[in-house]
Amino acid sequence: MLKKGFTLISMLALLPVNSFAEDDIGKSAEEVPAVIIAAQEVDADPLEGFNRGVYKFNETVDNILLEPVARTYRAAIPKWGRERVGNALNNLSSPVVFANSVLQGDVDQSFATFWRFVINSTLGVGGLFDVAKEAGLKPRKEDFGQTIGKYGVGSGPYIVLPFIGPTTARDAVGKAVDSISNPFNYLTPAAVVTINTVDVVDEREGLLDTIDEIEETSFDPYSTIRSAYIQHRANLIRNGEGSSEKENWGSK
Amino acid sequence: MIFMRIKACVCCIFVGFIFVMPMPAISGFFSSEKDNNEASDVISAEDQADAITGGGASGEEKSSGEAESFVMDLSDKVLSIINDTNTSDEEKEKKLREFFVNSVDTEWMGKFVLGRYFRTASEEQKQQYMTLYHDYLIWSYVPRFKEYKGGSFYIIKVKEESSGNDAIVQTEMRGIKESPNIRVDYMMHRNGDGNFKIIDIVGEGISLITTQRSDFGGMISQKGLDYFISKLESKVNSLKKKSA
Repeated sequence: MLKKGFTLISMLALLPVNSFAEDDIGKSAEEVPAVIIAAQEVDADPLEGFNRGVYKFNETVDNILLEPVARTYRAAIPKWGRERVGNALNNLSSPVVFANSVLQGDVDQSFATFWRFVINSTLGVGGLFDVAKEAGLKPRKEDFGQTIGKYGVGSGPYIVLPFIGPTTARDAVGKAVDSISNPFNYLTPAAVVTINTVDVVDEREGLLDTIDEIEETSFDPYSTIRSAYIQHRANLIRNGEGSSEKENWGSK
Repeated sequence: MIFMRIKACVCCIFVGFIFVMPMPAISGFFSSEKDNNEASDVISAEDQADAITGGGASGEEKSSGEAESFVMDLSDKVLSIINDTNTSDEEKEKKLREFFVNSVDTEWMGKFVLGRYFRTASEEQKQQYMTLYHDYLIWSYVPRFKEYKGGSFYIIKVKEESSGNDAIVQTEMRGIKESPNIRVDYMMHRNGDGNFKIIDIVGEGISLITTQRSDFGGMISQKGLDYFISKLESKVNSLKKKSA
């Protein structure tokens, strides 16, 4: 099953990404100032037909299953409890973050992640409390998609996968590698399923307000999400323009 | 199969939507913590008074400090309006709208956001669109400033292009309710008349105008420009109603 997935993904990675030849702004507007990020890539979507179909499917699954579960979770568990859950999940992602920090040659972040895991697993009661953060060891999200991105691998075409959601060929490969290399995915099947289920619910709960807002303000949510996903990943790979302060999770 | 981490189908991509939504709504998504001493300039509710009385900082010289003082001056005014306990919310919003119109180049942004569709649009469509976009931006963005209440604004870095016509001011909002610190970059461009105006707001690496262009373009490519303009009109009307 996994092998098949890999073949599919590597085939997708070979698909040419349409680079839009026409200038976006047109001659009628002033010249684009140099500060504006070159933006053609966020609208390249050779698999759009397929993607929109899967997007609709995911939306349905979300409406009937995931969103109600996330709302129930928010209503049933007070913020304090949800924060503990979020911290524990972050702690469990430490091996993946560590491995990728090492692969990226980021010595500081590698040590920080290692000590975060040691401190939070012990003093932080199995990761429930992020005491390492208080001590100045900040969490950061690193994954294999970012790692190979940093070494110059392009994102490949944008793909929306059933259940998994927005990704690119590169990030899908990255996700598979991270899953295989994550030691916590070799616990008992029941434990693995539990961790991953809680992770999904936790993530969706954190997105409740954001998604409500998108549904209210956006004209074409599919395109909005694609654009934001691609910009967000590019920003993560740059670690927020070269600064090493970037993180997109931590205190949930 | 068990190894595959089944992620939320709507997943983490929404995280960057801080400009599409109220900042605190994304609480927990971003927390780019910076040490306080990294900030070169700080404006907070407490020391605002000083900043404003010393407001001559916005000098006329077109030196490298111009972009920075432009943003400093702007944030002084915005924060002083937001945190003024003597004015009603309605009045605050009215004042903020004025500032917004004066400091943001909505015309340039409108053209950029419509992208290639602007070229092929008829004069009538262009006019309709530009008026609506101006209102859309103001009425969707300004009400959010209320959320900044109690926050402080830090300038991290100012980068100017060698031409002196473009600049990026990197800032961070801190102390907004319970949200983590939010990195917001302002892209500025010198107008025909020589003044700096904001042309893009980038929240945690996600650009307002780039995302809007994808959003608008997505609908226009499927349903056409006229359909989009009618939708834009109804959105503006509902935003105005919500605000009133």
